[in-house]
Amino acid sequence: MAMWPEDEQHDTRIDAAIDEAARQMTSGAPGIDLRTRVLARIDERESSSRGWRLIWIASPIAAAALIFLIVVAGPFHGRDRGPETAALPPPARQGAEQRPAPIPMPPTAEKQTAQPPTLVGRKPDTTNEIQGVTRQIRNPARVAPSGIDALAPESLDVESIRLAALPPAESIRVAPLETIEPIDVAPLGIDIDDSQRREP
Amino acid sequence: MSTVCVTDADLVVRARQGDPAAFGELIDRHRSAVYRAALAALGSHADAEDAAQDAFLAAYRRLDSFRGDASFKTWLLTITWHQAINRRRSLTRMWRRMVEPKPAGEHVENVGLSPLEQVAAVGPTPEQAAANDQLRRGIQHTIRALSPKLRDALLLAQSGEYNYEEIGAMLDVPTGTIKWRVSEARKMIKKQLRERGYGDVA
Repeated sequence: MAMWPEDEQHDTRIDAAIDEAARQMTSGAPGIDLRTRVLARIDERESSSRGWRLIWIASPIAAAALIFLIVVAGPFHGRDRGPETAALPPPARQGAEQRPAPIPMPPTAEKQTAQPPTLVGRKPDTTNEIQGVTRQIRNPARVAPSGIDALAPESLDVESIRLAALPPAESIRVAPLETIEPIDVAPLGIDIDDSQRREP
Repeated sequence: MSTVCVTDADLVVRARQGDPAAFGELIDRHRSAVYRAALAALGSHADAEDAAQDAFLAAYRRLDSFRGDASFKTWLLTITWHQAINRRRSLTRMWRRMVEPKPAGEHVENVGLSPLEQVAAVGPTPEQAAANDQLRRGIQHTIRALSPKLRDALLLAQSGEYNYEEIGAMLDVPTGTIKWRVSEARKMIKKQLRERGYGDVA
């Protein structure tokens, strides 16, 4: 009778309920400050990308400057230190006003020369700047006292660690052996006695 | 400068030239559509807010690629849908879904009519209103249990914000497929409701 219309009505109501439920699941609005937040993030992103660009440009320049400083300043960094003063033999230490003893040369070249001392293993540098620094090292009295110099510890008087020359070693030549007299052996074919044959 | 009579295309041109106010105007015009699309995909208001932000940012970055073949709204909604789906697939969101008690739609107690308004407006008894409310919850639970393809098509179609062409562009399927999916979703929901005994609807 009224089955179809009732079914249709029921179906229509269900459809309406489904539509309403689905609509409610997507109802809502974003925050009022969505625009502000988005524009702020855009601005932040652009400024950070600018910053990164600067870093990309500046970092190679900074790295090159650092390498340059290391290469140029490196040789001057350790010149005033340790081995020159610690290795000086005690009799050569006269005082700060006199010239310091030259840097000990290898055993084969011990004699002191009038030439200015040079660092072992290095070729003399011809630049004016380096010569000026070597002059200062040779004549510490002319160097203006600095705070760092004041903090430098006193050099120690230590005995030289140079090894004395070894005494000549005994010859290791082998003495010739005594000559051995040749032993005459009789040739084979000669008859031998039975008594000699039985012996072990 | 007033932007009431300015088209989206003009605003896009200005935004490309670096005018932030022009892009801000585009945000205001399409914020609701973007947000509701994200909400349909994600089911969470917090996730939808984040996805909407990401969508506008992505659209800003890709402004140069907008050629004007489709409307700006359609182009923007396509980006929004991709952002929302990516977020849906993310592992962190899956973890959060395990932790969060209720997704969007369950909190609609304040969205619908109060019990008094329901009685005055609809006329049913409080018992009927409660039954309708229970039916609504049941339907929403069933919608969530649908496959993503059917659920997305149904929610987008019923949100009232998009036509079938726009939904087809977002989901990258033909319009006919969208209509079929919506119809199929309804059939499955009705079947589930009958099995659960939701017979009468006032």
